[in-house]
Amino acid sequence: MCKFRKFTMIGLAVAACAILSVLDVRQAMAHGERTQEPYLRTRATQWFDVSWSKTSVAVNEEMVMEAKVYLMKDWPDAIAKPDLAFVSLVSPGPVFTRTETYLNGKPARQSFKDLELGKVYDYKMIIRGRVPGRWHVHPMLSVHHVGPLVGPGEWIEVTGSADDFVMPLETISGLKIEDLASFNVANVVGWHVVWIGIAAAWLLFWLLRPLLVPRWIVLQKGREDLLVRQIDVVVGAALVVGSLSLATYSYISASNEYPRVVPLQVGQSTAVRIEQPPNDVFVDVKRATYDVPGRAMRITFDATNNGQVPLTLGEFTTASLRFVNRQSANALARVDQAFPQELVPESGLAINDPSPLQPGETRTYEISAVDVVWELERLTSFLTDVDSRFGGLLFFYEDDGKRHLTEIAGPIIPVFTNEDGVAQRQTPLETALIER
Amino acid sequence: MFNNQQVLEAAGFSKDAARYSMFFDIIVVVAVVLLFGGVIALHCQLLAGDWDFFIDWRDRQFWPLIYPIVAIMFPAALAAVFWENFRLPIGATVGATLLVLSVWLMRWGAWHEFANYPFSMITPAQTVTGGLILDGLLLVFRNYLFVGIFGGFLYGFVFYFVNYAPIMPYYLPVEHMGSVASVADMIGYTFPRSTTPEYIRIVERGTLRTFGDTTVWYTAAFSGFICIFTYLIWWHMGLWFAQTTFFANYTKVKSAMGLKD
Repeated sequence: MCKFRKFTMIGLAVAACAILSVLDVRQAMAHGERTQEPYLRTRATQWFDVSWSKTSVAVNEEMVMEAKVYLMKDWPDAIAKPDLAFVSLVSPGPVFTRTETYLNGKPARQSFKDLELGKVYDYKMIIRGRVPGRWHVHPMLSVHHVGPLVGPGEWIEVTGSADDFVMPLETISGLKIEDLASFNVANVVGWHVVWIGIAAAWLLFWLLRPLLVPRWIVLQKGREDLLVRQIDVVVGAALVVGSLSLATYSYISASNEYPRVVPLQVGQSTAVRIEQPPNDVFVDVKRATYDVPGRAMRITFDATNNGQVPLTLGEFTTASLRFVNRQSANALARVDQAFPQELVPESGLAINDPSPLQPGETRTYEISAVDVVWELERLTSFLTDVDSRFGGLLFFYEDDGKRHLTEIAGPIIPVFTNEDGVAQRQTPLETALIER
Repeated sequence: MFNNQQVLEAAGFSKDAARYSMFFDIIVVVAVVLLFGGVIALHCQLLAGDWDFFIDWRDRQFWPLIYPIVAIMFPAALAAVFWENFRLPIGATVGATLLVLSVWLMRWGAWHEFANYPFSMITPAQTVTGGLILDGLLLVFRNYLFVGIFGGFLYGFVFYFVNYAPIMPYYLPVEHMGSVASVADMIGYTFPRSTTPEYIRIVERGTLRTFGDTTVWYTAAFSGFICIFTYLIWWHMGLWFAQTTFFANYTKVKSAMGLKD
């Protein structure tokens, strides 16, 4: 029995090693953006008009990432308001470098305070390729006490050699820095080598003697005079005086060499106001459901056109997903072919009445956003949220393509099965849309 | 230069015993390097890491205050063990040197090679100067209380000045997009840390408590003041952890372990 158990254990170990050796272990290329809680992605910020000027850059070559970000009025209660925010990007470490950043056209090297809910902000960042590879890059807004609020990502190829990367800079005093990545490193290493060298000499001064056991025995015998001699005390005193002298010299010489230095700069900026997109549509949510087996979000809402021209519902966007009314040419024209297509479901947006909403008209819309992407993007956990709400943006279009932006948000109800106890089917409208 | 023969004779060691003792010493030295190199680096990383990780975090108030207070702990404990048991005034230097070597190793492997951060952003601080001063004063005073008062203070006080000198060029001013930044700020901005936004830095502001336009003199003095007590406390911690205590086996425990009385 014992032998059988031993062979079993050996067999299991060999099998485990064999399985592990053939498993395809891949490098994590993105950075877990889908793990971020859905309420953050659907109800805090809405990113749209996101663009990347290039999808392939050489080392040292610049590209531009631009976007618009809308801060939802239905901002989640669970997180802090955007009183302090930093405009940034998400990439796997510094594989790109930042050259310039702007929020509403204002330089954004530092943080911004007092961002307003219900407003659209212009995001722009110029970045340079640094480390060759294929990297997933997102625009991002970091909010104090909230964390990163991430926009859609695009794969960017960086070509060339990392050794060729340089980041030159010139100080106000006229010092030309050839490469920020290696600037002054030799000076720091040099000083560290000096101090470690002195420490090594001091340690050798003691380690080249009988060490632990003999010293302990001698100490127990009361012969401390053999262990610490007068000459040792003199060397010790010289070490203290020498260390303090060298420390003082290093500080004074560096101060003389660099008389004008500044402390770290942490001043915060206030974002300038920019013209907001028009919004002539008033929306009142009546009911919203998420059909779990059908992977469909269905929203019923009243919309009133308070403007002077007819408006066509063109798009529902949330968490960077774009459900586009494929009967609207103006809406389709806004979908850049370079935009990540996995974020633009083929099924589009099903609308009960896609005809233009006339000026002064109030209509009850029933829209459906049906796609497996709800699951793929891990967006269905509003079923487990304590407030069970959804959020997003509706885009209405005038005939000439002018876009109106309306926030839509409200409670959402999960639908697990229909009254017969089986999974709810697609509505005829949704089926027709998907088949088309 | 050394009185090695006298020490061995006083210890009653034969030639062979001295040779075996040396092998034992080598084993202990290797063990100390590996164990304390890791432990001290981890300790500082957990308690004061952020202020030393990045060049654009090293402000004039918190970095020179917090880092030396944390970094003096293990050197004080090691100094107590080496001095009280072997009259070796090397504990603080051993701790401080192992710390800087371990952190360099970590910055090179984990931060530079693995995560692509440039060395200009992640060069570590060093506390070797303070360690040397502590050990030198221990040899002169032979009294941990005086070493704590004078050495502990100097350990905290000199930290900023010996570390600021090599990195002073990182505080040269630069004009970027219409505002002033230090080169350190520019390094932090240029090489992005996705989930480390700019506002998360804790940097002293205001000029109400300054001396010569900077708070750093007060900070260095206060750091030295706290280091006095930290040194004294950790000296005793070192002795407490280094003691050997034997307890009689409890009968029921022996029985539970299958051992007969």
